[in-house]
Amino acid sequence: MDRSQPAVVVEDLHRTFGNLKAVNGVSFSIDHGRVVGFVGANGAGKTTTMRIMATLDSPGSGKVSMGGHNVVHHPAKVRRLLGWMPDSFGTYEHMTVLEYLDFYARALGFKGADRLRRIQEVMDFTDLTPLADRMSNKMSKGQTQRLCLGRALLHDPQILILDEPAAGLDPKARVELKNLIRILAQEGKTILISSHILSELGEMCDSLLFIDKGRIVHHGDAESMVRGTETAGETLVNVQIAGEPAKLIEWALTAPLIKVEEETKRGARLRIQAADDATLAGVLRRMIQDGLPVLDYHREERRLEDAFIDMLGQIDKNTFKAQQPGELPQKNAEAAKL
Amino acid sequence: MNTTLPMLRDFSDHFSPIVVKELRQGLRTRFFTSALILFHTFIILLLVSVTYGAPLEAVNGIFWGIAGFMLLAVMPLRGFAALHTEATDGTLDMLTLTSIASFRILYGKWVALYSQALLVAGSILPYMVARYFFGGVEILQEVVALVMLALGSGVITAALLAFSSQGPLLLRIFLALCIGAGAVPLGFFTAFLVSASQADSLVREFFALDLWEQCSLIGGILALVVYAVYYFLALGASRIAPPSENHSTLKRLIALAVHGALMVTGLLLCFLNTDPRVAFWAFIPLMFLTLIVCMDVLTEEMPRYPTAVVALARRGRFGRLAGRLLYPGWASGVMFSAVMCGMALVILAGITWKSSSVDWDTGPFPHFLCLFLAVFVPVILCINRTNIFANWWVVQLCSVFLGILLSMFCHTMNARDLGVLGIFTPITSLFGVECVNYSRRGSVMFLGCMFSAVWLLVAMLRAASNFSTYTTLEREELELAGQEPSSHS
Repeated sequence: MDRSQPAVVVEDLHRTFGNLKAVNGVSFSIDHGRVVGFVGANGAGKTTTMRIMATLDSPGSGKVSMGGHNVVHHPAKVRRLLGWMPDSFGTYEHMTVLEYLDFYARALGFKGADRLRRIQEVMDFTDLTPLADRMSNKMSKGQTQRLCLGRALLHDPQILILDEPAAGLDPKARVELKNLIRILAQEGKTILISSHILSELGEMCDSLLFIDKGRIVHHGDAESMVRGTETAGETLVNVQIAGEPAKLIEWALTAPLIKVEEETKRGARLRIQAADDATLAGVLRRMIQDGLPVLDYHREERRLEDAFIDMLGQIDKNTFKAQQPGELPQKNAEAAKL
Repeated sequence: MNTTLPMLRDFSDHFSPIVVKELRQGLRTRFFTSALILFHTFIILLLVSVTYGAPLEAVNGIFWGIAGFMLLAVMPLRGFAALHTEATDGTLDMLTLTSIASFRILYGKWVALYSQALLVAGSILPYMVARYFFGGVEILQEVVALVMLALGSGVITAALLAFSSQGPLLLRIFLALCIGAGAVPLGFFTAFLVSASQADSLVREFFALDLWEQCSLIGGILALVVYAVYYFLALGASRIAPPSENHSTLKRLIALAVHGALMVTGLLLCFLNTDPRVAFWAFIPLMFLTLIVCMDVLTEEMPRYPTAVVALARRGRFGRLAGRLLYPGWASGVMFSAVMCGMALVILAGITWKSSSVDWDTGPFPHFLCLFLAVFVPVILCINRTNIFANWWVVQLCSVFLGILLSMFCHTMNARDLGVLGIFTPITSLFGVECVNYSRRGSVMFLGCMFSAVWLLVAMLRAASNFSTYTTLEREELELAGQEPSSHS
C-alpha cells in the first residue's frame, strides 16, 4: 500500500435511494495510522458512506479510494486492505466460534497450519479462546462484537471500518472493546469508527467527522469541535443544594446574568453570562449569602454532545438563512472546512 | 497464546469454504435430522405392513410418493430462504468481502443441500432391495426412477436457491409454487416408470435403440440437468453480486451455446426422421429453458459502472456490438431474448414446414410465437417500478388473469366472437383464440401474432433508446483503460 497518499479519500460522494439523498456531496480524507470517529444522528448517512467505502454499496457519483484503489474499479484490491465490522450482523446457527472463524479464514484463503495459527492469534487478541466451542449464535452482545472484530481482523487489514461497534454493549464490554481498538491504533492501522457515544469517540479518536443530512458538517479534533461551538463569554455551572432544588431555581430566576439551563435531581445546571473566575466566585458567594445550602458548585466541562447539538442548531439556522431570497445555499465543501 | 486450539479436521482444504460451512450447519439442523428419521420410520412401517398382507401395488405407490415428496419438495425447500436470510442477517455482506465470488456462494450452498438430498436418495436403496425381496418390483425401472428423482431434486434445489435472493415473501412463495408445478410432470413420469405394467414398453424401446443413441439420450438428459442447474445458480449469483460486477456475459454466452446445440439437435431430429414431430423432444426442453433465460435477462438491472462492460468494451467495434446482446441489463436482454426465442421457433417452423398434419394458422407455431412474445410485455408495462423482477411476474399474472376473465365472459355470455378482444396482448390472445369458433381461429390467431409482434417492436425500440447507457459506460471504460494501462493486464 502506498503510504505517501492518504489511506482513505472520499470526493464529492453522492448516493440516493429513490427521492432520499442519503449522502449528499461528502468529501474527506484520512491519513495512514489515524483513528477517525464518524459521528451523526440516525439516518445522517454514516452507514451508507461506510458501506460504499467497504465496496458493499456503490456510489451514485463521486470517487472513493481506499489505499489508493478506487472502490468501484478495483473492489477486490480494496477488500484485501479492509476489515469491516457492520452495525448489526447475524452469526450462523449450529456453528461454534472456532468453526465460524475457520470458515472465514478458509474464505480468505488461509490453508492448513497457517489458518490455525491465524485463528489462534485473532482469538487470543479478542480473548475468544475460552469460547472456542461455544455456539456462535448463543453468545452475549459483547462476545459477538468481539467475534465480529476477530473476523474482520483475520486477514490483518490495514484499514478498519467499524460501524457502531459499541452499540448495545454493557460498560465492561465497552471498555474491553475500547482497549482492543486502542491496541489496533497503536499497531498503525487506519480506523474509521462510528458511534453515538461521543465522549468515548473523543477519547479514542485523533479526529472526528460530523455528518448531518448526508453532508460533512465538521472535520477536526474533539477540542476544536467543543471550542468551535462554544458560546463566547458564557459558562455552565452545575450546582447541588441540600433540600428542595426549587429554592435554587427561584433564586436563579431573579438573579442577574444567570439562566437556568436544566433542572437536575438535587439542583440545576446554570448558564452564567461570564467566563472569568472572579464573577463565578461572586455568584457562589451570593448564593451562600442568600441562604442557599450549596453542597456542590463546579464549572462544567463542555460536553461533545452539547457541542454537536449546538453545531447542528447553527447549521439549521444557516440553512434557513440561505433559503432567504437572493442568497445561495451553503455549500457542503465550505461546511467541511469548519 | 492462552491455550492451543484443536485443529478442525472434519473437512479438507480442498473443499470450498461455503460447502464446509453449509455442511457443518446443515447436518446439525433439526429439520434435516427429524425429516430423515420420520422418512425412515414411515418407510419401515410401510414395509412391515407388507408382511401383514398390505397390497404390494399400494405399498409401492406410497413408497414412491413419499420418496418423491422427500426428494422433490422437502429437501429442496431448505433453499427457499437461503440467500434472503443471509441478506437480512447481514452475513451476505461479510461473504462478499471475502474472496468468494457470488457464483461460488450459490454453488457451495447447492452442493451442500444437494449432497444431503443424495444422502436421502442413497438411503432409499436398501428399502428398494427389501421390496425386491417381497416381489412385484422391477428393479431397473426403480433405479431409473430414483435417478430421475435425484436429478430433478438437483434442478429444483438450484431453482429455489436462485429465487431465494428475492426479498418479498409472497413472490418467493409464488415462485416456489411455479417450481412445484414444474416438478409435477417429473412426479408423473416417475409414477409411470415404477408401475411395471405400463413402463415395460418404454424400457424395451430404450433398449431397442443403438448404443450411441442410448448414450446420446442419457448424455443429453444429464447435460440439460447440468445446464439448468448452472443457469439457475448463475441467475441467483447475478442477483446478489455487487452492481459493479458483470455476471451476465458468461451466462449468456453459455446459454447461446446450449440453446444453439438444442436447436441443431431439434432440426436434425426434424429432418432426419420420417416423423418430424420427434423434434418436439428437443423443442420442449428448449422452450422451458428459453422462457427461464428470457425472464432472467429481461429483469436484469441496467449496469451503472464501467467495470460491468469491461469484458467486451475493449474488444473493438465487434466487441461493443456483441455487447448489445451480452452486456448485463434488460436493454441488451431484449435483443438477447429475441435471438433465444428465434432459435426455439426455428425448430417449430421446421416441424410445421415438414409435417403435413400441422398447419401454420392454428398449429403450435403461432401459439408458441405468442407465448414467446409474451416475455417482452413487462418491458413496456410497469406495475412495480421498484422491483423489475417482481414486475415481470406480476404483469404475466395479470395477463393470465385477464385471459381467464375473457374466457369466462365469452363462455357465460355465449358470445364466442368476443374472444377477438384478446388479441391485444400475447397471453390474452391465446385465451381469446380458444374462445372463437374454429373457422375463425386462423384469422384471430394471425391478428394476435401481429399485435404481439408490436409488443416486441416497442420493447426493442425502448431497449435501443437505452443503449446510450452502454455507450456512456464504454466511453468511461476506455478512458479508464487509457489512464490505467496496466491495471487490467
